Amino acid sequence: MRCLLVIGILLTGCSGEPNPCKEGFIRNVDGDCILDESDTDTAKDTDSSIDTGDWTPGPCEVPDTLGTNPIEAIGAHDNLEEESSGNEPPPMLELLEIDVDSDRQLVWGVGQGGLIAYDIKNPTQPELLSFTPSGGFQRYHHVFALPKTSDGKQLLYVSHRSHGLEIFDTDDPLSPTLVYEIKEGMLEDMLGIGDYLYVASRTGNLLTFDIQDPTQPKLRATTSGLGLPWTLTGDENALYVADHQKGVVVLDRSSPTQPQITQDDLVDGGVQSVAISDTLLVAAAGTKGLILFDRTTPTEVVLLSEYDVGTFVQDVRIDGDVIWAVTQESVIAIDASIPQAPQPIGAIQTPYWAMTLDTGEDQIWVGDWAALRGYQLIPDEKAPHLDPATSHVLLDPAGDELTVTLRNAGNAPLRFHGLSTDDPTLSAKLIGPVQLQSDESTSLSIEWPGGELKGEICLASNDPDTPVWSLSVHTGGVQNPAIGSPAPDFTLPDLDGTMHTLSEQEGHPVVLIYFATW
Amino acid sequence: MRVYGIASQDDPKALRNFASSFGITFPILVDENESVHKQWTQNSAFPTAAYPQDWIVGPTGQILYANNGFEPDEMRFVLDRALED
Repeated sequence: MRCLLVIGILLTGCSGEPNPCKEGFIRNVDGDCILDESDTDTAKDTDSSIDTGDWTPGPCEVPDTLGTNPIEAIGAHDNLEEESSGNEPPPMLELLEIDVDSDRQLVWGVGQGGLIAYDIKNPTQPELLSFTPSGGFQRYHHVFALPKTSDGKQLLYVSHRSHGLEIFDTDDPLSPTLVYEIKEGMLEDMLGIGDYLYVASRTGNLLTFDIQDPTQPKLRATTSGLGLPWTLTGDENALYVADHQKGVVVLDRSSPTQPQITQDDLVDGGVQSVAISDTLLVAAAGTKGLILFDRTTPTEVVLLSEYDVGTFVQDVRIDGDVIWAVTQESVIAIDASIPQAPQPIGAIQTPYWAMTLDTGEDQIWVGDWAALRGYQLIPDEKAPHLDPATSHVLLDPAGDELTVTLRNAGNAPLRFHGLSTDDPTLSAKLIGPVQLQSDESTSLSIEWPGGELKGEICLASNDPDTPVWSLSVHTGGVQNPAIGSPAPDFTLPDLDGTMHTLSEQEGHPVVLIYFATW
Repeated sequence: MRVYGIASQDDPKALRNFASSFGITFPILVDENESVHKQWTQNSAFPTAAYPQDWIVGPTGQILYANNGFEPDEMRFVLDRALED
């Protein structure tokens, strides 16, 4: 499990750029370029602070004129659908991490179950080429495809946290062949640059291997100072580690066999992934969202901005001016042409559980648990994106009223036009603007006199990804039968042997998190 | 507010390591034979067996929230209301 409960404060610095702002942007008091919202050339057909007293909601239906989602799904291989169509798919396919090899038009995926190879020659129809079970290794965590070696070898490195590193000859992607194993525990992500392979270890070390013979890695150096590393990226100049304890750690790679830590604790808390471009370093920092740094000096990065994703951001990649990220439930695209002020482009929901992504030639590939999905951006397309604070609420059976905040996380105005409830006793209305500019919020007010309820509030807008959105509202029972029912009592020991009984916590809310370390 | 982590099918040493590495200060409970997990998932229809699975129990012992995954916004929403009461 890689999610983390950390309460921390991110120290923000200010990086003033002396360059003029891009058209449509103005400089604020801190010296940052921000969207110029006073620009009257921007098309705004109605005042965003429209009085909701004048708004009569229509039915909750998909509107006739719906914008186009700037993110377009181009093709997928869905292993669960394969199962149901009667083909013979691998029994357990999970994509925890993927690596796109654009030269060979392949995507490699690893997760619980094993190693998967996909052919993406036709991106609208990715084809599953092979499945190599991980056998006793249970679950691979990371994969790295080495660029073709000078003597024509195609090799792939795969790591498993407990058991070590496996090296596969993937000359024939239909049957990857194991050629070497390093049986050392705690190994996480790997990155090959030239003759060297860098492997982050959960012991807090970065291992440098000489891979002049890529099938026989030789340990050359052990650099201490990492915390709990998860992924790493880098180039000839520097390495960047996404670390659950130390946030982002930067290492100088000018001496390839002696990487030196130059910066650490750049983010306070768990960072899941990092990505780089020539000028940018972006960290996917879980609930902290995306953190952007200037990488002009590769070993001394400077904080530029933070972008609130609204939920937990798991993985990130940069493609030119666009930052792509996955949030377990969606793929999102952000315009980082002005990195001090990243702007949303759009979002698209992923049906399963998106945990990983990688850039292809013209597409972005996403590992959506049991499916590989390809996406691309429709140029110049703008769309609104509804970001609700929650998707279900539990009401007090004696009667209740509350508000749910709704935000526009897109880059075009979001307009609500339909609102309805499916229970006559449940009333809902918008008590803020019914048209939201980018990043603006409104409130949905819910009132209910009491009794028994299992209902839905339906809200229709011009969000092309979720034009009709449902908020489930209930007092317990049917929706998720557990909700509203008495919690089963238990008494369990903690790691020190002290017994804890749930019913003894009466009077306090209790959060229970079932997890595993594997 | 009380927070507990519960693990089953896990080695206590690995759990201890995990707890100290992540700086986890809340108690990690060990549900060795998975009996508590079975009771709790009897009625929570989670689509997969994936972790994490979280529940929020209110001050009077009612289950307020059940989820497969980690949605801090939603959990905060439920907790704020529970703490208000």
